[in-house]
Amino acid sequence: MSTKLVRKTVPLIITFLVGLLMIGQWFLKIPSLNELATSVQQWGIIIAAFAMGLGSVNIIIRNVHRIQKREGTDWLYAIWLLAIFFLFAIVGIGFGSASSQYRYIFNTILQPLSATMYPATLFFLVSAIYRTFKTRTVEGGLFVIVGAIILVANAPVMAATFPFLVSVKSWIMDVELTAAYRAILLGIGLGAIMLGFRVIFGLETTHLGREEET
Amino acid sequence: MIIASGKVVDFIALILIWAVAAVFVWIVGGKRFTIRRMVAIDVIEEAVGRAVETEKAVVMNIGGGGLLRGEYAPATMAGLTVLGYVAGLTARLGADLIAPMYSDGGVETIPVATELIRDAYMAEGEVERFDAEEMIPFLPVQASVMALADRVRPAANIMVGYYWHESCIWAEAFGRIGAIQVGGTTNLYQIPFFAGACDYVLIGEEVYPISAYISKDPKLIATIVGQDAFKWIAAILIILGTILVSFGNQWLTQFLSM
Repeated sequence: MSTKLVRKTVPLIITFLVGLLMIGQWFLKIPSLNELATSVQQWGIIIAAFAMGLGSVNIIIRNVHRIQKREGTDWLYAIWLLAIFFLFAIVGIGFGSASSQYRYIFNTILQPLSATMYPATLFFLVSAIYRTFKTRTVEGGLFVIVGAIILVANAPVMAATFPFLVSVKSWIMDVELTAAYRAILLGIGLGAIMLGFRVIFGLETTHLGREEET
Repeated sequence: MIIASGKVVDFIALILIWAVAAVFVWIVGGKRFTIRRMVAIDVIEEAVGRAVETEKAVVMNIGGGGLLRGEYAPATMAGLTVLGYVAGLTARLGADLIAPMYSDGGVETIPVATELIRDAYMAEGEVERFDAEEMIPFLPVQASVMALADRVRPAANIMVGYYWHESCIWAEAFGRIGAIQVGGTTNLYQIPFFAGACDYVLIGEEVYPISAYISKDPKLIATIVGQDAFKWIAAILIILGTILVSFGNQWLTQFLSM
């Protein structure tokens, strides 16, 4: 088989068939179509599991290389990362992901660390707002004015002192913002439909790699 | 009826939209249409050039939406298109590329991205510079991408795909080290963060026609024209619906809910 057949033609045919299947499953009431679509979606989960394996191998190789190079202090973190990686893998595979042992390390290590990331967003937001407020363009100026109104109106003391700010904020959020969001959402929806058209009918092939035959 | 209830008009609309697109692509032809300039895409080549001059890397991130979930897959597809384009540029101009793969439900993009980048380097005759382990690190948590920003200090950070709150964290992390940033997502609630923290931003639907813009393929551009035609129809329906509802007439609302 030629490379082009394997790399372009077969994926395009599969994309066309699966694309139509998924559309049919969403719009049509045909039980066999629904069952087939569910099976295809489950294949996707299996493919993702293989990709997770690939990602795990990538983590091991990269960090082993970092430890071998011993540049700066990064390699110490690499040792720590691999230790935790294998701890989770051994406990997860050995006792099962529903076991109390796995739940313990999940709840005491991963969960608190993940939860920490969310409040950290606040500091990045403040920093982003500061940088945005320094902008010297007309759009940036409007951004600052609207942002300042929302910020001030959300502060209870300011809302109590200047109640009209709450009305202004509500108007911005309910009228201006909602209208803009819906317009963007409409464009996103139509854009996604057209991207689907391009992918299903083989017009969009950039995700399949290079054009020429090798 | 064979069509599920509540989806009849949606189904007919989809067929109509695709039919109009097909007319624009295969009958009208796309040669007479042009697509407006997208500065956020134009600047990518400049950013890669700057990376070469400063001997720093380019980071290209496609987010964590993945390809398996319908609502996020289109943005990831667009991100992969940009990734292929950026990989071609870094291969041709001689910059280092790092495309971190974030795991939040998007691990299936790893093999696709790997093939795309390898293909791009192969097409430029630079396949010996392709190193999957170093170029496509699997970074399972948000903090690891921030650590990458601090460790590598790239000249440019390009983020096109589907993002959640990491959009703000990552854009800020790369912004602090002075990287040129291009951000684009279809997640409504993350667009303001990109608008605030990135130098150039692709707003919502601008993410999708990137392949048409880059390739200048008349057929791809024709689909954008078809899409714009339906924007006008949608606008007319919105105005008509607003007038009818204002006068207490629910006919259009009920019709569209069929």
